[in-house]
This record gives sequence, structure tokens and C-alpha cells, in this order.
Amino acid sequence: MSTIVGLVVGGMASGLVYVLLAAGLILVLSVSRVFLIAYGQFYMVGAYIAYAGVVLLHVPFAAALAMAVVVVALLGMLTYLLVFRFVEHAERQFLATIVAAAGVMLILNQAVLSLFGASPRSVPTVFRGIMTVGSFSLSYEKLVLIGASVVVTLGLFAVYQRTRIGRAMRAVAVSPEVAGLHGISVTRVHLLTMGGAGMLAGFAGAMLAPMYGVHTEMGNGVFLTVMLVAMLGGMDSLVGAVLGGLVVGVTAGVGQYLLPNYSQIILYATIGVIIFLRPGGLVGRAAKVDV
Amino acid sequence: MHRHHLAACVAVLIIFVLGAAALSGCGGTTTTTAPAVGGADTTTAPATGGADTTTAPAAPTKSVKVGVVAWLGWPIGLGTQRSAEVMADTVNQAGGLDIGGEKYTVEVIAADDQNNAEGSRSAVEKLLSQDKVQYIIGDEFSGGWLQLTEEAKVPVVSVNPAPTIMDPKYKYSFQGSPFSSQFVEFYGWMAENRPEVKTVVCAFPDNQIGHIEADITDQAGKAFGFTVSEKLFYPPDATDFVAQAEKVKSANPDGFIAMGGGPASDLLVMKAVIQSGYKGALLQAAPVPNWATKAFISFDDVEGMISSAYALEADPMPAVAQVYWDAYMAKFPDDPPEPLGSNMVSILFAGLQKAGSVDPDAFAAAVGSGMTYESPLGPGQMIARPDLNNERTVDTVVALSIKQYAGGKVSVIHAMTVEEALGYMGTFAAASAQ
Repeated sequence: MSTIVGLVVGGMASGLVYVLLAAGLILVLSVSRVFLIAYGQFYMVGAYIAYAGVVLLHVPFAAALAMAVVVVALLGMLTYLLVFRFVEHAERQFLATIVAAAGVMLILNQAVLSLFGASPRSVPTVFRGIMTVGSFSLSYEKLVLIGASVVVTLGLFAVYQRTRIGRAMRAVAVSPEVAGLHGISVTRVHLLTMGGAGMLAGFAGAMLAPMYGVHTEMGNGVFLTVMLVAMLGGMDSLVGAVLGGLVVGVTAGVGQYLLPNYSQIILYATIGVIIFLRPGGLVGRAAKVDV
Repeated sequence: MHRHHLAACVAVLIIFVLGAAALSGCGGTTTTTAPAVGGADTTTAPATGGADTTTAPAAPTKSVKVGVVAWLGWPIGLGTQRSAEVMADTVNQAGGLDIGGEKYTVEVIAADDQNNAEGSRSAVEKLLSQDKVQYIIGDEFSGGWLQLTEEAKVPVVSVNPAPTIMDPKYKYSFQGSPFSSQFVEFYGWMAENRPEVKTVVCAFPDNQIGHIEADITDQAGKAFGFTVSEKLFYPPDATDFVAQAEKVKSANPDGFIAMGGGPASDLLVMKAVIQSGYKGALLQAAPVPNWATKAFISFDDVEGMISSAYALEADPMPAVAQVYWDAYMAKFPDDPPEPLGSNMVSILFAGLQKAGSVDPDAFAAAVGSGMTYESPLGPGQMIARPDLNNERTVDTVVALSIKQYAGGKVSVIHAMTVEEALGYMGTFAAASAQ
């Protein structure tokens, strides 16, 4: 029994991180129509900022976390201003944003490599110790990760559903032209969307840095999984991101336990079947994408 | 689309391509030569003696060009490039590498293989045709281009332990990493010195390296008398190892081993297993330097863990390791070395010195006849591979050390000799032949 609980809770912990990252990816895709393949690099930059704050500048972890959130948010906004703003009206906008995002990905990868070197970096564990209940054990750092991720996710929903900027984002997501006619500054919405997505990536990177270390390949590995989560849940649905993240996290963990040689097949087959039955994902709508 | 929008898009794309190229130096090569400043050379490579600077002899007029093919965006590849440059600088600053009584400046030219076979081949073609290198430190894709270096008579010392590298048809190819011996040494030592570890569960990445190492572990179990009760294969890009940890806790073996995933994955698996509440022996067969271990796990969390180690981690370090460490940290003070590549360079330098010539045939004969050498990783010896029908000594054994984590610190508890390492290899080979 404790094994099952451990697998589910452990899967939720990694799944919630995917939820945050998928939510950011979906936000940018649905509102700004940008397929941000450099999103993994945003997550990586967040982790490196946390490392720089704690290890190089000797600030408390909370301050380093705040730094990571702010810096990556600004990075997102800067990326929009310098890159995506110029391609949002391109004839083949979807492809153009992918190409532009690839450039961003290359630059961020090399910038981090140049600044920090290729050796992995560490951020000291903040929440040390293990909570044991009977035969079930969970590290405090995972417990905090789960709690913080839930709070941030709920906060994201609150902003998206109940605030003016959230309404503006939803309006722009439906139709930027009509939103503009209603007096919404579409450029400002795109800017804030990229900033919001950056905040989520920075938060995820910084929270995971003490758990998984920091290295230059961490962004590449996470993007594929995040994209699958987004597809599974629905590329235009934040609720879908939550469901998709939890499904992927728990399925991956349980699959690896029960049939480790086939866990990847099980995971991707599950995703494939769901998308076949529901092309728009668990919650999203099927949509035609003009490339 | 409006023309000015098109122009803006093109301008942005050009900026990004230039920016990416400027930052990455994609496909570029780097050349390092250090001016000779005089001083006596050594009889073992790399230089271990102090430089005599009271007189300044003439700079060497001869040079030997060494190409390094590696993935420069990855720690091991970058570490190989840096190790070659640092070791070249060291010998050059001591007056040059003494080859047959003459001093040679060592010139290192690195080329990025972009982490794929095509990139590796392109890099080698460039090194051969444009840079005219005389020797190559090879990468994991070496097997795909050895025909080129054979035809060009350019000896290769490669990091890849695949049988292709040691195929008898290749006269100028040598395997220079400790991969062939490091796990066997650790398992042999473990069986002798930790006899209470009778059953182990092992975690490997589900890729070629992981399965190769799983097979080695199986064979080692038969050779040295322990049982591999379960092998756990995980996706190579996994970062969460709850499932593996729960399995280890359920199985409760005498010992748990994580290997094959590189420092990041191996240590993250170890961390997850510890956090699951597993109380058995923690064993790390692959040497991960302490400074890399700290990136992923606190020493307190791995109390009692026993691991393979390089000579660089001993206190005090052997002379060869100390010279390498001092030179490396002087050049890269914020980035401790990923020292694997230093072993290939050590074999190259020792081979040139033993050959007494830069002639590739002399080099091949020198290295292929049981050469011993010292490297920052430990003492080494070239060995034959009769299992691959190769009686020339084309593979290498590096005698590593064993370290233990205790009280939040790590210390080397045993420094293996080459004879010990060869003993374990012999036991392993005999059991594998049955």
C-alpha cells in the first residue's frame, strides 16, 4: 500500500511541475500564438538564476526564487519585444515563430554555457529531511514542491479567470483583432503573457534546482515531456494542462514501477490513444493550425 | 505579407543566426599552443618536474598537432578539450614534449562533433584535410570514421570502449578511457572487501551504454560471487526516480548500485533511493568526482556510500595528478575538471615518448606492446584483447581508487595498483570465457 501511495504522490510531484510548465506553454500558444520551443531554456535559466543567487550571491533561497521568477519573466518579455513581435504578423506565423524560438533556444543555451561552464552546478537542499508515516516516506522538499505548485497553479487560474488582464488574455486568445477593436492593447497582452509564462518557468526551474541540480541539458529534456502534457490536456486549456500533467506524472511513475522496460511505450501509447479519441486533448478543442 | 514585415523577419533571423554562431562558435576549431619557456622535460607524461627557468633555451622548432574530437557542449567533451589544452600547455611551458631527444611543441586543435555521428565525421575530415593533425583524441562516434584515420595513418586514442575501436584491422586505433576496467575493478574490490554484500539491485539508463554496463555487472556477479537480483532500466532523460526507489526499497537488497547514466542520473537515482528509506549499502561503480557529486547530492545524504574514484581525489594527490590539477585550476578556476579525457592524452604523450618519434608506425608499435603510463586518473597499462582477436595492446586498464563518504566528508580508502586491477580483470575474463 505504501508503495502505491509513494508512486502516486511521487508522480504528482513531478506531474505538478509539468503542469506549471505546460500551463506556461499553453498560455503563450493560445494567447500569443507562439510555439515557444525555447521554453525549456527558460526553465533552465530559472534554475541557473537560483544557483547564482544562493551560491554566488549568498542570498536566502526565497530571495533567489524571487530573482529567478523576476528575471525569467523579464526574459520572456524581452524575447517578445526583440523577437516575436516581429513575426506575429508573418504570413506563415506558426512556422516563423518556431524558427525564431529555435534561435532563442540556441542563444540561451550558449549564453548559459558561456557564463556558467559545462559542469553541473548544485544548489544546497533547502528543505532537508524525510517525513515518514508508517512505511511511507516523502522528502520535505517534495512536499514543499507539491504545496507550492498547487498554490501557484491556483493563483494562475485566479488571474486568468478573475482579473482584467486574465479577461484580456482570453479575449486576445479568441480573436486579437476583435479584442483590439474593444480597446485592449494586444501588444501589452502579449508582453504580459510572455512575462507570465516566464514567471512560471522561472519558478519551476528554481524550485527544482535544489532537487535535481543544474546543468546545461536540463532544458532540452523537459520540453518534450511538457509538450506532450500540453497536447494530452489540450493545447488551449489550462485545466487540460493540470489533468495532462498529473496523468503523465503518475502514469510515468507507475509504468516505470510495473513494467520498466515498457514504461515509455505505455506512456506514449496512452497519450496517443487519448489524442486519437479526443484530438483536442482531454479538455481542449480540436483546432486547425495554419502553418 | 508586407515587404517591411518580411524585411524585419529576415533581419531578425540574420541577427539570431549571427548571434548563435558568435556565442556557440559552431563547427569552429580552437587551437592552443603555449610558448615554450624553457626547462627540463620529464620521462613520463604529462610533465611532472619543475621547470628550470634560469636559462631560456630556444623554443622547440618542431611541433606535433593533436586533434580533439568531442561534443564541446557537454562536460565530458569540454573536459577532454580542456584537459588536452592544459596538458599541452604544461609540457610546452616546460620546454616541449621530449620525443626521441628532441623537443616538440604540442598544438591542440579541437573540433565539435555536435553529439552525432555525422558531425563527428565532418570534424575528423576537417582535422585531417585542413588542419593536418598527426594524432587524434577520439569521441564516442570514433567507430564511424576510423577508416579515414587508418588511410591517413593518423593514430587515434578514443574514449569509446566499443569492440570496433579495437578491431585488429585497425592498426592505429586504441581505446584510451578507463571504461573497460573501472567497473570490474570496483566489483572485484567490493566482493573482496565487502563480502556482506551478497545481493545487489542495479539501476541503468535504458540505452546502449546502460545495457552494456548491465551485462558487465551480470558477468561481474558471476565472476566475483554476488547476485544481481534485479536490474532497473529507466528512460535516459528521466529526472524523477520514485518508481526505481520504491522498487529498491521493496526488494531490500544488500546493496544498491546506480551506473551508466552519467553523474546526473546516477546520483539522482541514488538520492531517490535514499529518500525512499532504503537502508542497505550504497555503491557507485562509476567514478564521479566529488565536485560533480556535490552538484546533485549532499555528502551527508550518502553516508557510508562507497564509490570508485580517480587519483585526483586522493589527499595528497600523486604528482602527475597534482600537476594536472594545478594547471587546470589555474586556467579554469571556477570549473573543476571533468578529467576523463586526460587519460587519452596521457596515453598519447607516453606513446610518443616511448616511440621516440612522431612516426605513426613507431607510435602504434610502442603503445601496442604493453606500454605503462601515469595519468591524473591513476596508473595505467595497455592490455591486449584476445577476446576480440587482437593480441596487440589496444585497450587500457587504469588502476582507480576507492573512496567512502563518512561524516559528511569523502576520503580515499584504497588506491589500487595496476597489478590488482589486472588481477580483477583476469578473474573477470576467466569467468566470462566459461
